[in-house]
Amino acid sequence: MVTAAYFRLLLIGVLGLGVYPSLAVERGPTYRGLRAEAQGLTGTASVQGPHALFINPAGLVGGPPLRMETTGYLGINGTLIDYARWGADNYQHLNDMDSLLARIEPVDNKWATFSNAFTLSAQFDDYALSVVEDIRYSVTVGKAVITPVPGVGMLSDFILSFGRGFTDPYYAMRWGLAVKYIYRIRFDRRLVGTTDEEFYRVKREWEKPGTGFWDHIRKLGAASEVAETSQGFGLNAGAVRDLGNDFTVGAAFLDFPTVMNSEWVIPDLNVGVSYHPSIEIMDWRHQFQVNADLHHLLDPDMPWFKQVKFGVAWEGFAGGRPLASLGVGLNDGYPTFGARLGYIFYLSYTYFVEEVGGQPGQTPLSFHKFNAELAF
Amino acid sequence: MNQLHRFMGLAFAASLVLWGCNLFSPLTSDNSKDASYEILLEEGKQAVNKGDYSRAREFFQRAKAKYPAGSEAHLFHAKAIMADYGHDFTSFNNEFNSKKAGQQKGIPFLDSTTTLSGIDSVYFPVYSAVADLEQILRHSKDTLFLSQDKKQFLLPNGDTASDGKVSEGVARLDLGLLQAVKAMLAPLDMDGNGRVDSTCGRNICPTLAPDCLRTDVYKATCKTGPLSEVKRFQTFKQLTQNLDIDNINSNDLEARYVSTNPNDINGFLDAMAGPMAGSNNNLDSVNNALASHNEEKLQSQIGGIVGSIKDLNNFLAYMRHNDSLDNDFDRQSVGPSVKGDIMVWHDYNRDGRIRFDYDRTYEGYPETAGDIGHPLHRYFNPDLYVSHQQFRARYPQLAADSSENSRMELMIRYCRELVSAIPQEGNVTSALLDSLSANTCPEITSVLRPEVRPSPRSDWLSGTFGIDEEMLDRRDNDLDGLRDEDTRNAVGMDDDDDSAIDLEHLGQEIIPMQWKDVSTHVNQCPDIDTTIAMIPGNPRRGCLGSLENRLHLARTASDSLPKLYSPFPDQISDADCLDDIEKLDPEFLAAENYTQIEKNTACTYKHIWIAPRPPHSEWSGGVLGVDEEYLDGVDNDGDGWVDEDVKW
Repeated sequence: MVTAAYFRLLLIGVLGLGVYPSLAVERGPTYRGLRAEAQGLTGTASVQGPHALFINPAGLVGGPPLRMETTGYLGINGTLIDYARWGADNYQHLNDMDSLLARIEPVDNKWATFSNAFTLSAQFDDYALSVVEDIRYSVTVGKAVITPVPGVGMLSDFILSFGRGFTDPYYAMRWGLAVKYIYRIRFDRRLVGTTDEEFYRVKREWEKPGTGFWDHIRKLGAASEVAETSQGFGLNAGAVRDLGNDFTVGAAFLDFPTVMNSEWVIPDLNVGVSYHPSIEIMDWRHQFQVNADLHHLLDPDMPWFKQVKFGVAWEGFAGGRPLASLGVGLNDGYPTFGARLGYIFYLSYTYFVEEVGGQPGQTPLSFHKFNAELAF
Repeated sequence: MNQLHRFMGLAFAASLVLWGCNLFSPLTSDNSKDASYEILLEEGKQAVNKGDYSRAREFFQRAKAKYPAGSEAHLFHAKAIMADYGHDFTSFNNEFNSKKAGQQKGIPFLDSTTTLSGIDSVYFPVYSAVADLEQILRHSKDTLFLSQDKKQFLLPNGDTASDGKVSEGVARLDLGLLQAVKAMLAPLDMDGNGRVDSTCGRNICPTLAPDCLRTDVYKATCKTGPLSEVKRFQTFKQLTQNLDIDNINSNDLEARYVSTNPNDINGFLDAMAGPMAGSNNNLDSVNNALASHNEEKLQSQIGGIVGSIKDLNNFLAYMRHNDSLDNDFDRQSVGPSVKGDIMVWHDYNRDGRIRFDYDRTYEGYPETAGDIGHPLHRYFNPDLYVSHQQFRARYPQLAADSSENSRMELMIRYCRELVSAIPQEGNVTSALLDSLSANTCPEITSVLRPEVRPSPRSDWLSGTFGIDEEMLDRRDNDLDGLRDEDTRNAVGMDDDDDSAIDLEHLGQEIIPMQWKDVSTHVNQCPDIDTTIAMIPGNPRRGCLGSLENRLHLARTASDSLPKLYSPFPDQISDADCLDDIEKLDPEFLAAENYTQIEKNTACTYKHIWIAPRPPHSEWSGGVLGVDEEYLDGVDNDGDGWVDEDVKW
């Protein structure tokens, strides 16, 4: 009963923030993990394991006696590769406007985005701890009106999160809380000009000689030279309830509240439903999931196509350990895909797309993400 | 469970088939009227990437309307419109460079072959892009000053592109470059509609209804009617055809190509001054930023344009007319923005210069040695002049200007030109000329010291030396390196290019010319003989000084011309006079059908009447040529200028 009362109190708090969005600033950390991305960012009702800290802490209930995992992934795409190649050929022209303008066509007005993440997580029964470093860089070279200007952007979150899941037999539901510390390095994506200090710092970085492809990928991180740091604390909370053996519904309140540099972060309310039957075939367990989520319900400006998420997954277990999995989903209207294979050491590939334009299909931003994972 | 398997299989298969597609896009209507700002922005960017700049402009225009604070919409709209007209940094740079280093004279984008539509295709996109970029810089509540004297500014409009997505730094360089072009061409856009078009003032009189064309508002904007911009374009080409932007010289500019009405000069300059000051301000800030970061290579690439703009900006400020201010920094005391007593002087010896003291002679030296500002006068009278060292201390900003066309450089350069024109005869030796060039010119300015007052017998009568000191006469009256700058038009002066004043008037009170139309001769010019009826269809034929009178005499009594009128130098036909003939009423010219010989003969003589005052003339007294004009938009005295020397 006490937990239910707290839960209501938290709900009122969250709705209160939704009513007064002027109190809020930028959206909170966006790390959700590759499994959720493969399944179209769904998982509010079905997530389990340490990643539940970021999606719905109620998923921490019923974890293994001890589980540790570390992952690292790299997200690249065609535009990024084009940029890196262009940079390798043209970085020496940064001081010559005429030459640069003559060569700018392939990259003008196109932003290249690069992402990577590293996680270290541990779960002990209903408790979990996770350290995440999630970085996204953006870069462009384009014409302002008639002269060339660089553009950079960066959002890097270092998150330390700890959470616990609870079982509430009275309401036949599970719920969870996760606290987090966030250290953020951020530079909002923008063009920088010759009277901006950032212009020169970015230019210096770009002008450094580089011999290989990765040298030029590294230069994409020039925004870190000019980014500002902030830090804050926050809370994620969520609840799930089983409806029979194979259905679960869930709701997650993310960043409710989260405070960065004394300013409230816009909270998220996500809800989802999951159908998750499993079957045993010759001692192998096959776990299926069909998920449907609605996200960002507290944000009146969020377009509908960014709210609706679908995901489908299969995962095969041998000896209680996951062996292989496949997932597909629909994020912002785009199909996503993921596959994972291994035993203790896993390799996975995820194809993830999000819409950065104003309407479905306008400006997709896609990533091929390659991941290595060690899980005990 | 089988159904689940089938569903899973179907989902995976669909995912592969639809890879990269968006399933929701069929649910949204393309190009919907209520598309959000973000949608319009993205659509515009995609159109730019496809090279469809016209469509991109439409999207960005809609985005601006949807979200006026959106700086990206403003920036990209500017980019799209410039690209749509095929302009970029390289083409701009080429235009500026082609007019530099003596390759080609004139201003960028304009030469003798340029058409009206051609110049409009430069001006319109530049005008639009400047408006977009200014909106990014403009403040919502505070005025943004573009010049140190705060004369040029951007007013707040409370509705700026202020969302911060595009920094001021991004806008400044491009804005500076575009403002430079806008400044050079802005006088062509007389009605301020952003176009240089064949019909002036459609934004005032959309249908060009005759009643509307007669309104003061229309006439003040399009002074010569619907074709005003066409005419201005033609004279503008003549005005700028000899200008060397790399070596600005006031001798290359003819004020009459600005307008034959000197009172239009400031309006003309104002049209240029705003964007020029903005350009100078923005390019200066970029240049300083580049310099402070040791970006010499980038700095050098815009250095040429920055230098030209700085020079032009300074130069324009020198040229202002009749404002009781020292526009060219040569007044006796400090404070160029402080109004003072206008300098009153008459050119008694008709040499176009200002004699300091007729009682002092310089034996063995040229006559010019007695003129204020002449190198020899500076040499013999150093105590009268401000030294360059004092001048630098007085105007630190000018001292800091190290450009080739800085105010001080212009002064020194012209001083040396004057030295080179001094004949080596009499007491003038080669050593003296070398000394003048090497010492006097760089050490002594042409500016008189504050305590210096006019001699009893001087051209200079009263007022502060350096305030509206120049006549509009194509001569550098004060020998300071600038011609027809800081000109005047006030009571009691011979402000046009000539008058009937001579040395006999020295020491006498100069009485302005008195004349008035009598009731039988209302033709806005002083008739020579009111007992003779006006000629229908040629009412100015009997007017003193009028071109029509000189043409008539050239046809009927050419022998009388030298007795009645003062000849032009060397007794050759004056080109401007011949131009003025072509501007006369076409019906009159067609009816009279003057031969070229008659025109040449008429234009061998100025409008200055040298015979005694005719007994039955409307000229009833005073000195001919002094305050002879009425402020009526008519060239009363026939010198080709309108309202240049009015009776205020």
